[in-house]
Amino acid sequence: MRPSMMTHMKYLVFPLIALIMIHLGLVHYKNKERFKLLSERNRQFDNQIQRLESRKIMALKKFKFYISIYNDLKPWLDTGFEDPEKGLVKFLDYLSPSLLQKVNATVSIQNTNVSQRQPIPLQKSSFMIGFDFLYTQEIEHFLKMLFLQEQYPIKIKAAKIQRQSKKRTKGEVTFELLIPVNLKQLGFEDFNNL
Amino acid sequence: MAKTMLAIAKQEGLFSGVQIEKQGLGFFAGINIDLSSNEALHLACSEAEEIYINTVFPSEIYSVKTFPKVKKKYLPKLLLQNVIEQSYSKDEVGIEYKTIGNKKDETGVEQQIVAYVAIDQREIDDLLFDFKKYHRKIKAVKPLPVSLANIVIKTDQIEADFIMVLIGESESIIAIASPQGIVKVSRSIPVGLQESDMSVENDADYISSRIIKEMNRTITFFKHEFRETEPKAAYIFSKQNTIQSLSGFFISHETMDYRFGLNTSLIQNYSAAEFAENIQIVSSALSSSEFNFLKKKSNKVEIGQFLFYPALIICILAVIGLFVSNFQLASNISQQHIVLTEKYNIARELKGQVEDVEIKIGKLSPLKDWNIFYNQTFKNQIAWDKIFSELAHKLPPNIIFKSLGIGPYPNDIFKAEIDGDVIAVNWQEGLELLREFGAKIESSEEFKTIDIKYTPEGIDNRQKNFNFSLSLEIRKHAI
Repeated sequence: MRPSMMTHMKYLVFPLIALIMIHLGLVHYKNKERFKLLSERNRQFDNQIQRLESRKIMALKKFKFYISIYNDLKPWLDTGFEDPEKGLVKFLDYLSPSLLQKVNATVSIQNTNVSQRQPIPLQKSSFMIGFDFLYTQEIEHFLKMLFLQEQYPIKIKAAKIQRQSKKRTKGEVTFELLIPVNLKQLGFEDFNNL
Repeated sequence: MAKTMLAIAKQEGLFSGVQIEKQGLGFFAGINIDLSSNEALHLACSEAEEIYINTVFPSEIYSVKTFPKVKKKYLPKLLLQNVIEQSYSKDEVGIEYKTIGNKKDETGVEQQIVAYVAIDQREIDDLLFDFKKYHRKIKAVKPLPVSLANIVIKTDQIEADFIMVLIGESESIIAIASPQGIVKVSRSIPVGLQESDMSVENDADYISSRIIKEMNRTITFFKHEFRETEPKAAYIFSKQNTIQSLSGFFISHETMDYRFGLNTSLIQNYSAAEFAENIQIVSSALSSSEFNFLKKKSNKVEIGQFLFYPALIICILAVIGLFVSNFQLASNISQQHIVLTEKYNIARELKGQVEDVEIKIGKLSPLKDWNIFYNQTFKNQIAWDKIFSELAHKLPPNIIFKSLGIGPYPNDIFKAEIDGDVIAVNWQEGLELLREFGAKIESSEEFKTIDIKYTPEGIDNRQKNFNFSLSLEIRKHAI
């Protein structure tokens, strides 16, 4: 082979190497871009995991709060509720003559079945009960039976007691009976599975 | 000290040579050596200390041109540019030049006259390939016309441009040179003269007339190209046998003096005729060092050889470096992939857990309002079963309640308003009783005093009577 050809062929190795280097360079550049992208994705995932962890902590905290509420309310919720009309008449039945007679109580209903949405949808009935008594035990028993029960939600508006004679005391109490209207729709039975 | 030189000529594709001894008294030549076989060439080269080569390169370009006067280092670039314009590529050309004079152009700017010879470098490389084992011994590679012209001006008194004709067996060279030995025009013609031709008179006549015709054409071209008068002398070189016969065909006239040889010989043991017969061989060793195409190539080769392997190693190292770097990067990418997949799974799992809890929270959220409702109703009751007894228990005998009102106070607190009378024998005792009652109320767990107002009533009465009004907050723990 002539030297001119040999020399030319010998130096062909450089373009060949240059091509390989360009190829490797391109692969390197591509890989570097890919690496940067993956690192960025990793950082994004780190942030996402951090956010999710704090969200989880907050959610668990909230969940525990609601569970504690549920546990508090459970005995009351377990007693069950009727519809508001039925709840009202049951309350009227609860005000039995035997209870009322001891303090000569008179009951008057001022407003019935007035709807209210807050804090929960409910129907409100306003009552006024007048009474008189001789001994404090009598009125205390009466008021305990009326207000310190966990079946009929009652909100006191006012109570007034006035001395009449040396022996008897007269009084009246106004209150609202608040019966929830959609208790059945809440699906509280599901809470037991939580 | 004697030195053995090997003068070689490559003509019509074949090498021939003469061994020349350089001694104190001058040059002494040996017999002609046929170097057409590789063995003979290698043997001759191995015996020689220095090798000089003459040949005709097909791509030879001779030129004498005027260039702007520039610094010496810029001149090769100018020449290269000039040569490239004549269809050479930059990497394929070898140029040798000589500045032969200066002149001023019409505007008075200094110019330089440069004679140069350009040859396709690949032809030089191909020639040297046959001597690759003896590269260090080679001292000169010259175009044959240049060597011939140089020897002519050394041996003869030349005053004007002259023409040289070297007649070979199948090819002849016609060249015109200046008295300084600068070749201005050179061409090869496919016309030669063998000894057998000389026996046939018509053939010799025909060939001579062909050569004369080609000489005239060359002279015409020269006159047109250089705007100069035709050469005054013509040197005809050939073998001794043929040259004597040829002399009859070339008849000197007023404008052209034909010379069939040289006046003297530069080799001690050669006659002038012998010297002229072998001029194409021995001229390589005896001509000046100008227009030697070996040197540049040699440097180029050496520099090329010297740089080739380090450059190759650097390139290979760079490739290896890139490869290793790529490999590491690929490994890092794969690592990142694994980490990414792990993080993706963690994030997905966490998201699932969070969503699960949030769904449960969503289901439980109505309880918040129910809790408010529960607290406002069942949990917001006074201890109706004991507040009356508690008040009765704290009440001194001389204090009489007239009325008790209970109503909601802001923030789900109940407030009690008590009106009553204090009955005493004097005002001081009445005040003491009221204070005692106030202190008992304050110490109670059920009540907190907000305000007490009292007014003395019936000052002129025997029985002292205070009207009082008591505002109480019914404490939360009682609810």
